[in-house]
Amino acid sequence: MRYIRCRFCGAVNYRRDKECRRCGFDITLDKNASLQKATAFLIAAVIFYIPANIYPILKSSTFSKVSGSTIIEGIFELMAHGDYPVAIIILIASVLVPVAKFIILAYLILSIKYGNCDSVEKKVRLYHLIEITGPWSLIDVFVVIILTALIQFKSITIIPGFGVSAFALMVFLTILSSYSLDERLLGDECGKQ
Amino acid sequence: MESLKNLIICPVCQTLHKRRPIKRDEEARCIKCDTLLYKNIDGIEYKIFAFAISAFIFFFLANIFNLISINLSGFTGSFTLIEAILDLFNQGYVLVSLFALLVLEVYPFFVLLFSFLFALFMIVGFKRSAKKVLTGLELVSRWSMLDIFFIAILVAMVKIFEYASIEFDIAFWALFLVVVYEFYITKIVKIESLWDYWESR
Ligand SMILES: [Zn+2]
Repeated sequence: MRYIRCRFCGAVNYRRDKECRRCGFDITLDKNASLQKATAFLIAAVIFYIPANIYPILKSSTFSKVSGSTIIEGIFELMAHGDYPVAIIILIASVLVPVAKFIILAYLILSIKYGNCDSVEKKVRLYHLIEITGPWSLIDVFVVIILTALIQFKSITIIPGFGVSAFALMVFLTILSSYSLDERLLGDECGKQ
Repeated sequence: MESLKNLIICPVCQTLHKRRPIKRDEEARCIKCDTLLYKNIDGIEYKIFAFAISAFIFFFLANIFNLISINLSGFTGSFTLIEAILDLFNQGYVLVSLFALLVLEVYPFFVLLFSFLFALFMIVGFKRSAKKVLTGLELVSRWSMLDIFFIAILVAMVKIFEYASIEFDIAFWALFLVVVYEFYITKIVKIESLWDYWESR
């Protein structure tokens, strides 16, 4: 195909050109650079997933004691109170979605690396799904920020735990990994058109 | 040879299409996979101009008033957006608080500013300046996370409503309207459509 779509503004350009005729962004397809960056960010994100889950994301201190709770503990607490819908939302958004994203990103990276041409459209849709839902994993980080600001009483205070930094970093790195992965590479070597 | 302006590639299946004129508020979809390709948003600059001015006012209100007030067995607490970010900084979470400052204050503000300026420049016919702010808008819009923060407020309230009485203050509703505006620009109008529109003028 002699044309290529600009990832930034969507304009159609000639493949031989370097910059988008409309917005001026780099439109070249660089398989190696894209894969390397995406892989590096993905590995870093997976590493931060561990502290994000084993360290408390928030701590509450009352007169007598300071107690921390990790994301998983927070989910059990919600369930113990019967808040099943919220517990399930947090479980999906904070625990399962990040893992699903790691798996999907790894799958897309490998597909591009080995030029796999099966169900390209589905892979592009998966990519767009990850791109759109990526930042939503930050919801737990924001909940901690809100509770920290709100619960500052003599009898009880809530402070963030180290897990919140790791979690935010993990989400941020996952977003960077998906941005670095050029989805146009997914069907590029598949001889279409 | 077809002019590049009149072509569009489907973002999902990469099928090449020729652009055809469509009526106002109509959409063009991919013949192969039905993905939205482009739409006709004639006169959008006047809508954006009016909405953006209101959004500025709401953003201002969302920052100066309390978002939420609670009453926990006689003790009352409340917070503003800025206080929440500062608290985090004071607790030693410097990086997370800077991140929060960017995605909750700086980028949302620039989404408002750039979309407003885009509308203004389109109305007065400054095409080159419109392009500059549109590039800016594209860059900042993906990093504005007020919508996620808004939902997070609701989740936080679910966590504490058993223990405390909760009041949603002015800033909460103002924030909601800012979120609606940014949703309108990035998800309903879509920035790619603004690029098409810019090019068609
Ligand atoms: Zn472009």
